[in-house]
Amino acid sequence: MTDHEHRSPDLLLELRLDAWGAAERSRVIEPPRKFPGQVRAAHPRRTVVRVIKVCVLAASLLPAAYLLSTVDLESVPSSGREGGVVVAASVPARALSVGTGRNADVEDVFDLLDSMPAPAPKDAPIRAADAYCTGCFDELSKI
Amino acid sequence: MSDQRIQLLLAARHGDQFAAGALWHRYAARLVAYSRAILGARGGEQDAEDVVQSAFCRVLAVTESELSAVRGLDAWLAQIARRTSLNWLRTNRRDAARREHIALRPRNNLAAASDPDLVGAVDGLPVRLREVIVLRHVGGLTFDQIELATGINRNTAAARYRSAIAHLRESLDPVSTKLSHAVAATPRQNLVHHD
Repeated sequence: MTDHEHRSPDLLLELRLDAWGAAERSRVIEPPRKFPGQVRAAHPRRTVVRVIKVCVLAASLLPAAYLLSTVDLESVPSSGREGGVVVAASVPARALSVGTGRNADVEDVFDLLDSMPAPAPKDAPIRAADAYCTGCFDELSKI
Repeated sequence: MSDQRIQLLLAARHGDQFAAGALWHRYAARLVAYSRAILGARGGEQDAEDVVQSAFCRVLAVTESELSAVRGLDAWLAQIARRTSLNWLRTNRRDAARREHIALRPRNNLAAASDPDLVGAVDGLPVRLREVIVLRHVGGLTFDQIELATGINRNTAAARYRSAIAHLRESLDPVSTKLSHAVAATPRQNLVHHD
């Protein structure tokens, strides 16, 4: 069914509706004052976007920079003279990692390692006799 | 995407305020009329304008991929205005129902209309019929575009259109409508002269 077939029976009424539609379309509706601002807010200029990104990046780096500036490097434990050997991490028994400064002497590293307690001997392998009581072990042996 | 209106929309999306203003002046009036048709007695003129403003802001925020899928700008804008109007009705359900119940709101543009009888008759149509009439005559959409805009089948849209026309004819000229119905209902043999 074509549009023409729809129009033919009530042509006068449809012409009237067309005139009303044209009048409605020609109405002037002022854009709200917020509208241009909202367009700008939805799509800010590229330079504005860049400035905002830089500001956000700076703001996110600021706490880290502040923390770094407050760290007292002199308080890091050192083994004697400046630039010496520093134990960076350890457990009570032994050092896990050892750092050396630019001026460190290799002998200092060996001295440090020598001064540490020897690591505990490895545990002996578990024997079946340790895992079971004597009676049970005897029974198992019979099997 | 070679359509000049699409280019206008793209320019508006990139912050060209002149393009945004041109887009507004081209489409705002018809979309306000359409939104008003959907809101009916539950919304005022100001509400319809607010809805269209929100719809425009939504249009300016769509992505390039969404835009590339647009088949016809007129129908697509009507679709967005429709969704925004329905959302407005949903969010303002209580207030809108109160307005409709009290019926304090004067008829939309009856006073300013050049054909107040027709506008009153259109306002009196059920929403589903009024919507098709407004899209057809104010929006200037074809039935295929109405299908895109509303999601209803084009044949359903055509049927609703015919029904709306019949309603309008009846409310605008009840006497002649009744006469034509009576003539149509008269048995044919009674009109034939027997010598």
